[in-house]
Amino acid sequence: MKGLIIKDICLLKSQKNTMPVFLLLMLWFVLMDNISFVFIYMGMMAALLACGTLSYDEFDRGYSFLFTLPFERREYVRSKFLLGFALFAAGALAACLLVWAAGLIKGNPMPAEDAALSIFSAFLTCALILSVMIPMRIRFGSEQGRIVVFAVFAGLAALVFAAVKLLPPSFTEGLYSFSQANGLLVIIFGLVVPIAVIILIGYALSIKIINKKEF
Amino acid sequence: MLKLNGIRKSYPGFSLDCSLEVLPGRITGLIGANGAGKSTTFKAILGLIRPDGGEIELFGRPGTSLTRQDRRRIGSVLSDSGFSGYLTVNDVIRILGAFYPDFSEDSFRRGCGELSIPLNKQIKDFSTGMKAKLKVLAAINHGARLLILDEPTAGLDVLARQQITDLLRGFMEEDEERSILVSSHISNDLEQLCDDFYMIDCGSIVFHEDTDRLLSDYAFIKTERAALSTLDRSHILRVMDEPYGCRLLTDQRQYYIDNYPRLVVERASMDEFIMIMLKGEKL
Repeated sequence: MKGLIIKDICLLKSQKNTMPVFLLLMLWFVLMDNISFVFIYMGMMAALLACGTLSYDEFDRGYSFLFTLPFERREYVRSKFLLGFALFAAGALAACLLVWAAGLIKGNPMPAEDAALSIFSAFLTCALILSVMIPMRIRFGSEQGRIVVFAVFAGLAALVFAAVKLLPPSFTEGLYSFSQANGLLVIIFGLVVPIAVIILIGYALSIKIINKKEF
Repeated sequence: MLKLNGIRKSYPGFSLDCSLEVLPGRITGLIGANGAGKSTTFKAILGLIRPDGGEIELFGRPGTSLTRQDRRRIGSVLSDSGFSGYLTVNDVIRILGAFYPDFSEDSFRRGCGELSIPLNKQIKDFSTGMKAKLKVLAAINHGARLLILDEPTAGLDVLARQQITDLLRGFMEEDEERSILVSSHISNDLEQLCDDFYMIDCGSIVFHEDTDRLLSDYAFIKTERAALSTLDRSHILRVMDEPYGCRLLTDQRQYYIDNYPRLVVERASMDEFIMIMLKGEKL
């Protein structure tokens, strides 16, 4: 798997020109006091960069040769998730430093609890994107996969929108008060468990698809 | 080294049923027209597709139970696929080093230097020749015992083809247990390189012969169709009509020279041989 990770890092290196733009955007969000979005944006970018390497692998029928190299198919899936998480970790570190520096300069540092919650939310976003995009990109390829991924996320958004509209206001208010009173429980059951479930489903689905795939 | 026993794979409008063997120390060619099943056979060997039936044996063990170490001993070149065009050769060196413990970086770099392959340019900006040479260099420099080469010289000029042929000869000379299975449209390359070859047509192996025997014993007999009845036809493999009469393919050249001294008997070039095998009719 080391070879796969090195390959992906080399491929990402060819995208190094986009990094300053990415950092400038994060800085802009910090200056605009949109701290939570800095983390969410970073989580999204980490997942999208990792999934972007699938397109590079597929480009010009590259999959055929790639899969003659000595690795197990499941390692390919694992390497993509690991790359996503590694990029997230690097991005989270950069975002924390940026937010911490901005807090020092402005004199209103972000509370550690808020930062942790933001990082968890960003990780949930990252895991969700990885878990949907990796299996769909492997199954349908970059072009068709893009449409399928869009459809899946549109479906999820519609589901959330419908839930918010259909559930009585007392329910959402109750949920808010509960989360205020039981912060740790909410983090565990509201974020950690869904993240773990989403990753497991996405990972298992990706392995099933890659094992069936012919090149 | 490699044995395919009744490998079957069906697609709409095409089905493969292939058996062949590559022995240690031998270069075996696979020839056939476009769509004959060469690439499907290579993909089955490399595990890129799942055969519907049959058995593949590599290094003496079933193809389905190859270890990582076994797979490291296979070097492959595919005609329409290679390293991502967004990588540079320096990236490829890092990647091969990580995948193959026996990767010989010095030899690879030396090969790149001799073949004028730039190290810091993205592969997508390479010429067709450079890409082909890079693929072969990558395949031969990680301690492989078996090379599976699908059209390694496709689209190359004569000089580049010669360089690739030389690389493959050098690979074989280093270890007499090494083997190569290679396909090519350019019959001259196979004639120079291969010890034996298989011909595939419509998904099936239709012919197998040693190259030396093909070049020494196979021949064309030019005659009129009416004269066919006067010939011993037991050694005639194919017949094809020509504007002047017909052309026969035999695998007993000397027999017809000795017994029919007035016949025109000519040695068969590989191209002509392929043509008559695929287009001629059986008697």
